[in-house]
Amino acid sequence: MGSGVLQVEHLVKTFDGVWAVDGVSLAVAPKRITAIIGPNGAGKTTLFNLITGFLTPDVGMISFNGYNITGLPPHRIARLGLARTFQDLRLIHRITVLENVLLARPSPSSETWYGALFTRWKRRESREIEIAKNWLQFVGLADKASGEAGALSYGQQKLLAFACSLASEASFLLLDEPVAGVEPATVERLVDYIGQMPNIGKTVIFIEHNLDVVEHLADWIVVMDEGKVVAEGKWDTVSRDAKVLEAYLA
Amino acid sequence: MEYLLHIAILIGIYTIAATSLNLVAGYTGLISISHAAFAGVGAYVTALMGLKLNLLFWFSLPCAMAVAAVLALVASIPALRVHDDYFVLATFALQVIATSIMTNWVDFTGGPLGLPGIPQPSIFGAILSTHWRMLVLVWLLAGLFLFLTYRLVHSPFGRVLKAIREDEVLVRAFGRNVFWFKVSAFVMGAACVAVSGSLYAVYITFIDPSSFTVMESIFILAVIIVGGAGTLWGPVIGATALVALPELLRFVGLPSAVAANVRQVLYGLLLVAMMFWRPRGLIGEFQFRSDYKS
Amino acid sequence: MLNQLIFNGLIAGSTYALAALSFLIIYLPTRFFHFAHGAVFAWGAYFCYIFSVLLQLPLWVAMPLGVLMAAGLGMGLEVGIYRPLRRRGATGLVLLLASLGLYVVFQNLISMFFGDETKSLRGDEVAEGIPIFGARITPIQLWIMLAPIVSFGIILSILKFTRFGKAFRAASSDPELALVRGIDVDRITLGAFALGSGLAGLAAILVTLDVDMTPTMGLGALMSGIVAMIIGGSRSVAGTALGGLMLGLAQHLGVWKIGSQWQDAIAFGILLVFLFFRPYGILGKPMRKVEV
Repeated sequence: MGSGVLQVEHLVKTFDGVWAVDGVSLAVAPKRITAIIGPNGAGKTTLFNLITGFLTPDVGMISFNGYNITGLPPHRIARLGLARTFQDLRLIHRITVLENVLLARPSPSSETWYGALFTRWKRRESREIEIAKNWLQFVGLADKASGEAGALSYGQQKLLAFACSLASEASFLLLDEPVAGVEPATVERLVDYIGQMPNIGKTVIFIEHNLDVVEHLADWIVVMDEGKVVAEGKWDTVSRDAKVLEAYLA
Repeated sequence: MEYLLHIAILIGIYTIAATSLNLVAGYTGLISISHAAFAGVGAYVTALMGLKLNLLFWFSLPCAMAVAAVLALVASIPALRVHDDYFVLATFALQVIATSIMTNWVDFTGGPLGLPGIPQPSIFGAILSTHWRMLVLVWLLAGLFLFLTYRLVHSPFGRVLKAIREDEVLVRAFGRNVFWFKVSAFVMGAACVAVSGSLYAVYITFIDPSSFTVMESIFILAVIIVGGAGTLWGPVIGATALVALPELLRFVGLPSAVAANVRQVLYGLLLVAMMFWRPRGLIGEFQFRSDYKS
Repeated sequence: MLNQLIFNGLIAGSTYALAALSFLIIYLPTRFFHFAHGAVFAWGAYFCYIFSVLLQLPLWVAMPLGVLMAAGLGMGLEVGIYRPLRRRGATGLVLLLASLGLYVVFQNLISMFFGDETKSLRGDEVAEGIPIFGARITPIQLWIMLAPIVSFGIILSILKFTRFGKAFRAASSDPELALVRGIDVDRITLGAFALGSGLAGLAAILVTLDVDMTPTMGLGALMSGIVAMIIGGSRSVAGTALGGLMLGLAQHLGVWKIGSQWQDAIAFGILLVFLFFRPYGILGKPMRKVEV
C-alpha cells in the first residue's frame, strides 16, 4: 500500500442500509493524476464527500500529508490544501466570474466584519484581483471576468470551477466529472490544463465517465463498483481486467 | 407639519431596523422573525438606563447595542445549527419568548403597562425634544448605518455573506467557516436594530411590549421585501412605503380602535400579494436552498 | 402540591401535544412550516364562540361546528393561497413568507371582529375539582386530557388503516416517490390541511375551556406545538405526543421553581438545548447533512 499524500483506510459509509462506500482503502500518490471510474452508484462521489468532510464516515480513517482529517468540517479540510469541484457544478451565478474566483482564494484576514469596517482592505483586494485574473487567464476566461457567472456557457462554467480550485492554492485537487457534458473543444482544453497540474506541483484525483480522457490523463486508475474498489492500476492493466468489464456491463 | 415630521422620524427609525434585517436576511439569506425582539432589547435597555441609572442616551445607546449583541450571540449559536425553516422557527421562538419576558417580568420591565417618562437625549444641554431635532438625529444615524452597510456589503466579508445566501455548500468548500459568518451577521443585525429600538424609546418616551411583538418582526421583514431585499436602498423605499401609506388611512376616517388592526391586515395582505406578484423580482435575490431533499 | 403540578403539567402537555400533532400533520407531507396555523388555531376557538355564545347553541353542537370551520379555513388557505403559489413555482421561502403574511391578516381579523379582551366559553360556574391522587382536577380538565388521547388514537388509526392514511405516510416519507407511484399529493395535502386545522381548532377550544381565549392565543400554542414537535423529532406521532407532554411537565415544574413569568422562556430554553445537542429530537433521525 505505500504512502501517498492522501490515504484512506477501510472507509465505510451507509445510508439507510445502503452501503454507499464499503471498506475502501486507497493511497493517492503525490504529483500524479489518479482517476476514479466506475458505473453510476459505485460510490465515487460519496468517497469524494467523505474525503472533503461533507460526510462523516461510519468507519475508517482519512489522512492527508500524514495528518488525520477524518471528521473535520469541510472548511478546515479545504484550508489544509484539498480543493474540490462538484458533480453538479456549483457556482455563484449572480455574481461576476471574477468574484467567484476571489471567493475561492484563501480567506484573507480582512474577511471579517471589523476587517471590512475598520481596515483598509482595498490594497490587499487589488492584489487578490490580479491573482484571480491570472488564473482566469490560465483557463482562457480573462475576457469574461466582469461578466455574470450565470451568463457563461456550461463549458465555460466548468472552466471557471476549475480555475476556482486552482485559485485556492490547494496542492490537491478533487475534480468530480470535470469534463462531463462539455463540448469537445472545451474537453480538450480542460484535459490540457489538468495534464499540466503535476508540473506545477499539484496532485489531481478525478472522477470521470469519459474513458478516453481517463486513458489520456491518468497515471493511475481506481475502479469502483458497489462501494468497493474492484481494481487498481495503469490503463493497460485495468482496461483488460475481467472484473472491471463485468462491472461496466452488468 | 408636526405630523409630517413625525412620519419622517418613524420612517427613519424603521429604515434603521430594516437595514439591519437586510444584512441578516437580504444579504446573508437568514430569514429571521426575531428582529423586533432585539429592537425591544435596545428600547428597554435605553429606557431603564435612562430611568433608573440616569445614564445619558449617548451612553445607553452603545450599552443597548452591546446587550443586544450578547443576547443575539447566545441565541444564534444554537439557532444557527439548523437551517432554513427550522432556523425561522428558532427565531420565532426567540421572539415569542422575548415578548413573554417583556410582558411578564413586571418588576424589571414594567410589564404590560410599560415604561413611561423616558428621558430624551440632549446635546450640550439642549434637549432633543422637538421633532426637527429628533428628525436630524434619527436620519443621521440612518445615514450612518446605510453607509456602514454599504461598506460591509462591498467588502470581502460582504462577498462571503452574499455567497452564503446563494450556496453555502460552495462557500464551505472554499474554506470559509460559514457558521461564524452567519453568527457575525446575525449579531450585527441585532446590535443595529437595537439602535432603532433605543431611538423609538427616547422619541415616544414611552414603551410597552406591544411595540416589539412578532407582528413587528414580520412587518420589518415585509418592509425589506417590498422595498427590495438585498439591495442598499430597499429598506428606505420599503420603510417609506409601509409607514407612510397606511397613514393615509387616517383620512378615511376609520375608528382608531381598529385602525391599527386594519393597517396590519393591509401589510399582511401586501406581503401575500408580493409573493404572487413579484416573488422573484423583489426577493429574487435569494431562494431557499434546502439542505434536505424536499 | 407536586402531584397537582404534575397533573397541571400533563393537562397543559396534552394540549401542547394536540397542537403539535395538528402542526405535524400538515408538516409531514408538505415539509412546510405553515405559520398561519397559529391563526387557524385561534379561529377554531372563536368559531366555537360564534356558535355557542353568539348563536346560543349548546356547547356539544358548537364544538364540532367550530372544529369543522377551522378545518374549512385551513383548507381554504391551502386551496386559495398555497396551491396557486406552488403552481407558480414558489420556493419554500415564498410559501413561508406568504404564511407569515396570512398569520398577520387572520390574527388581526380576530381582533377586529371580536376585540382584544379575553373571552370565555365556559358556563358561569367554576367547577370544584375532584380529588385524584392528591391533586384536584375539574371535570373540564379531565375532558381536556381525554380529548387529545382520543384524537391521537383516531389519527393513528386513520394513518394505519385507511387508504388515505397509507397514501399520507407514503407522501410523508418520500414525496417524489409518492408522485411516481401515482399518489395525488395535492389531495393528500388538502386532507392534511383539513385534518391538521380541525385538530388545531379542537385544541384551541380545549385550551379556551381551561384558560379562555384571546386573539394572540395562537402564538403561544404554535410555538409550544413547534417546540414539542422538534423535541419529538418532527417525524412521528408518538414522538410529538411525548414532546408535548414533556414540554408541559417541564414548564409547570419549572414554573414552580422560578416563577410563572418564565413559562415561555423555559420552552425556548428547552428548544435551544435540543437544537444544540440533538437537533433531530428524541425520536427523530439526524437531519440529513448537506446534500452534495
